[in-house]
Amino acid sequence: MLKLEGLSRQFGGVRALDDVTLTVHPEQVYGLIGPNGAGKTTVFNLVTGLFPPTGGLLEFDGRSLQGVPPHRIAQRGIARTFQNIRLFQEMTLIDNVIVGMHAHLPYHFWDLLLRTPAFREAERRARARALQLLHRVGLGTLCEELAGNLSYGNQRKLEIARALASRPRLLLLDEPVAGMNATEKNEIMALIRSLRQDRLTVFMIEHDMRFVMGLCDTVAVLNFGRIIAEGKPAEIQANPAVIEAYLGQEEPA
Amino acid sequence: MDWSSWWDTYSTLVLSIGVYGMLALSIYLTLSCGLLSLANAAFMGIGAYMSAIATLQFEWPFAFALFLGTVLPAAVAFLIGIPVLRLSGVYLAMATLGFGEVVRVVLLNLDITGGPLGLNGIPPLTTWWHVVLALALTVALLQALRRSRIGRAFEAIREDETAARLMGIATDRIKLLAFVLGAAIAGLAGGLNAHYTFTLSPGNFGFESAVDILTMAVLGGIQGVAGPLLGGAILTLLPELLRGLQEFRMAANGLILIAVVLFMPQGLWDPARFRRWRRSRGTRAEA
Amino acid sequence: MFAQQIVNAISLGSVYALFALGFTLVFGILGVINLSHGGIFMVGAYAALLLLTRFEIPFWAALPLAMLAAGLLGLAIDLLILKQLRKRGAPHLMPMIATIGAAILMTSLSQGLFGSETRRFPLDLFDQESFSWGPVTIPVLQAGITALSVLLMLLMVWVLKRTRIGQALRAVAESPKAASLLGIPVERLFHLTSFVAAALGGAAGILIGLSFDAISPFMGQPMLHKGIAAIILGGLGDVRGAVLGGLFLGAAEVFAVTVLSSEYRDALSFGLLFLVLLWRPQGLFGASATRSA
Repeated sequence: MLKLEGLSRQFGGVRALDDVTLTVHPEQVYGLIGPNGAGKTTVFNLVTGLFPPTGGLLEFDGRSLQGVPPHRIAQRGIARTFQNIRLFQEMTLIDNVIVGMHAHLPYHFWDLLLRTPAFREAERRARARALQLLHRVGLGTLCEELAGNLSYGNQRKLEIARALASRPRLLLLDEPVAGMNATEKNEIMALIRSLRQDRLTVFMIEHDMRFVMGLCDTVAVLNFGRIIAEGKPAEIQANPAVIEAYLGQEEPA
Repeated sequence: MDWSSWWDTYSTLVLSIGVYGMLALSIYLTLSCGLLSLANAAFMGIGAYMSAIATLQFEWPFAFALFLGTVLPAAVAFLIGIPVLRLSGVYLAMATLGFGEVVRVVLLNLDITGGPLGLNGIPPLTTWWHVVLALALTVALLQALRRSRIGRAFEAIREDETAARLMGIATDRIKLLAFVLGAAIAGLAGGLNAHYTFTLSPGNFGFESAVDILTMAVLGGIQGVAGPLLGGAILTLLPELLRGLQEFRMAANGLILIAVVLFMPQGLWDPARFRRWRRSRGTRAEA
Repeated sequence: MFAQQIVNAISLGSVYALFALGFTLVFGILGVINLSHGGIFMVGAYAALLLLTRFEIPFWAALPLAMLAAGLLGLAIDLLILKQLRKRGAPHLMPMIATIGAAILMTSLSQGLFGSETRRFPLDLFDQESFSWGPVTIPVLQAGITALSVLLMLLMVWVLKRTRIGQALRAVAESPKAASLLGIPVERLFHLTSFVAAALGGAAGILIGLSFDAISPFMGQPMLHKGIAAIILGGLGDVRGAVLGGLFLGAAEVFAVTVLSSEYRDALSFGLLFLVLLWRPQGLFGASATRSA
């Protein structure tokens, strides 16, 4: 579904990513782990078109993503969340989610000027679906709150709801449970499992090993911008190169 | 004082409240998607000159003249918007300031615009209902946008442009739309203004006017369409009220800008503040 | 003829550069576009005029005193407006809007206090002599103006490059947060920068007032526009760029008059600025090395 081949990216003289090759298959939960600063978020930034790769291939559904602007990539079916949460703080929860549906509101400029039935119907449906999504991530009762007033964990949940609003086929989650307590982590785990049942493909970056190993079908390890291992969670945990990379960096819990 | 003599004295002022309200709304439109554009005075000037030339020199019907005065600035905005809107923040403000200055100097030097003397004897065609209608249409347009996917996109871009793009919003096109619509509204306001003040000169559309328009929106607040209208009305009436101050009159505008930014950054019309007030009064009533 | 034009270009350009230097310092170090810099420039000129005519102080003393007055005004704007906005972490458009307000206030107050008419420095102030050197004639006054602005600029560059304060300032320009972690008194340097930048702006006001033989409450606005053009030509926040941008603009204006009609001269700075922004937003000279605007 998503294919990265020999992908690299330099910033100034620094190689943030070097010859990264990996494939995320449909309906898979794919995990990307690695020490801080290994270049994980850079992978997401390249996939979503925030900046172009300096070399290599990037394909989604067999079509190249090269030179495609970010909003088109989003419209093709890739949605993401952010490591440092980027919600629309001064908007309500429900409006945040409806913004995610932007490209799926099928009315014209004239419809909104004249408030035609098509416009009203589309807006009514959007609200209803947004509410549904908020309930799904457990924020339904807060729908008219401002996003900026939410707790940290709830902000992460709202980001997932907003990303889901665009009906993605591939969901990129950048550290979805960072800063969450154990209960919240379990909620997110259950949510991702239910998303997989809906045949959504998930590609995530996460530091919490219990979380990654419990959810992912395949895990890749990035260190200093290079993939040093890829495989099933059990294989990764036993891989000496991985253990080496993590030694002195942080505890693989 | 009977009605007709009151109207003779104050009609210009009343019409100006409406016209400046429209100008404040035109800059509100761009501010609401996070763009500080200082080009609106120039767009007003283009619209004013275009429609005045149409009625004065070609003797075309007023409605058609206003139409031209709306479309020409929008077309200019479209052309310069494509490159200029790639800039953001202070760079955009500077570029639009530069554009305004170029427009002023061009108006000053063309023959058809009357050069430094400007245009005189423009027919007095604007009546109160023209202004009311134009203002009502503008408000209706902006309200319709606000409660639609386009309005939400404006707000999303203002808060976090990158996140908005990644939500599938074609931010370039949405920003261009705000810029072009703002120019159209400013141009229409200019056309109306020209046909009740009877004269135009390039100096009316320079940096000071750009700042005046900005002051209206900042003073009123940009949390909704009511704010700019309120700001426009206050700044139109203020010089009348401060007539006694003579040369110091402009100082009030300066003080207002500073005071609003320091003490009331959301502007006068701030629904969130009203809600807080209502809430605190409610709890006091219960106690 | 051509040589004479070059001399005129350098003379005009060096005063523009002096103005732009203070302007760009504030942007580079405080991260703020201070749109009251034109107002400060005008106040500097009036302060010198007042000292010379009302108090009959000699020019060599009036110049530093007027610079001091302009500097204190800049410091006041920093303390009363910019500092408050920094504390609140206000978005970057806020200081621009507030300093536009301060500029309007200054213009209006000067208009009320001194009247709208154009004033002049006393005529007997300087030698009316000129140097002649081949085809080139340089009035003593013009030479003095150029020398003074170059001197002030060299002094500034020396301070920035060679002194401990300059080193600290460069650290702040890089990142105020990191600088404060290093124990650099960031707030005090902000105040100092505002003071020095305003003093330079005031000096430019006096020199322009001398070279055009005209002082008015409205002289700040067109100068501000030129300053904006100069620092954008040079790349925002870049000291060397501001100086080059000012010189470039002066030259462009002097030579434009020979090609274009003089009415279009005022649009030139903005026409240039407009093109540069579209083509090379980081400025003509060098890469943009400062914090994002």
